[in-house]
Amino acid sequence: MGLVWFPLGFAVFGLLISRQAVLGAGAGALFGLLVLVVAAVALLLGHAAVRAQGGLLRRSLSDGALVLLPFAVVALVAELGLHWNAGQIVASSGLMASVGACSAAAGKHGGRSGVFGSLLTLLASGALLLAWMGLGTVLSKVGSAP
Amino acid sequence: MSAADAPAASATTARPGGLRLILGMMFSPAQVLQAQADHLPAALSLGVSGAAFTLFFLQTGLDQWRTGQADLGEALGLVPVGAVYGVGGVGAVAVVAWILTRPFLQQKGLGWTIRAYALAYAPALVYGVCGLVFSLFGWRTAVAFGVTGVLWAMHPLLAVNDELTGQRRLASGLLTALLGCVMLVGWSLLGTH
Repeated sequence: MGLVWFPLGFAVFGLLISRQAVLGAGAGALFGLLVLVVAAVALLLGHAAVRAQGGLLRRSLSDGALVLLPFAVVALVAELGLHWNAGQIVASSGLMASVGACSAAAGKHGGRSGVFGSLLTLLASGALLLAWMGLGTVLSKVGSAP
Repeated sequence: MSAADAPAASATTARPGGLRLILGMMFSPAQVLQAQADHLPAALSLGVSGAAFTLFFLQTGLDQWRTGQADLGEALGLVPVGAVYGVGGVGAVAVVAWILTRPFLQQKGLGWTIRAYALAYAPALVYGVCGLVFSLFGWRTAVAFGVTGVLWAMHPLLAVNDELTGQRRLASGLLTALLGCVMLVGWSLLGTH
């Protein structure tokens, strides 16, 4: 159940950033699935315990994905309630925090956290952040006046 | 516990250095809370949140000064506001969180909750220091660094609320969102108006 927060959270962010709601939410949800896959690969490559223990991958990803929940709620309140243009900055922070939390959860539940695993996750979240910023720029321009 | 286990056990509860504590709260807050939150002095924890919001409000004031919205005196006047907000505001929010989570029959005391909440703003302190450096070079940093730091603090706050709600993570996430919004709205009201 927790895994659903990756596509759901980024669907919310995409919805807030884009001028076309369906396109934004759909693109955001797909990006959330990409985050899920990249985070899973980073955990498998960087944490021996994740490879060794059945169920640890799913548990770590679920723990990290749930970190997106408060970020998504804050983004909704900031954009719709307070009319702050904060969707992109909240999404970026949420992305880094949630992917980092996956690695921290793997270390916590797996018994030890290595530097390599943490660095790999940091690199993965940095690459995802660049991709999200690119996607966010495209989404914010689609449908706007030329 | 055997004699051989004693050094290992004491190593896990020994107080880490300040930088290690702050980075630990940034990247692996749950483990730091379990090992440290019972032992840290309240003054140290509240010093972290106080310093974080002092820097955040200072950068807010400097941004307003640079854009002509405030003179330098008004900008620097936000420094004590930030300090009070970082200590009193964070403490008050922690008390509210403790009261709201009483129905979950959690075992954590009010003192633990205040210390943990204050310590959760360690990422905001890191962003605040980095933001101040860039601010001295003329950048406007209140949103890029200050708001980002407070947002990043929601990760450790989630770990605190996990403890307070007995690992009921949906409730913990919603509580974190609510109190995260309160802190940002408070900054907006006190720091930008």
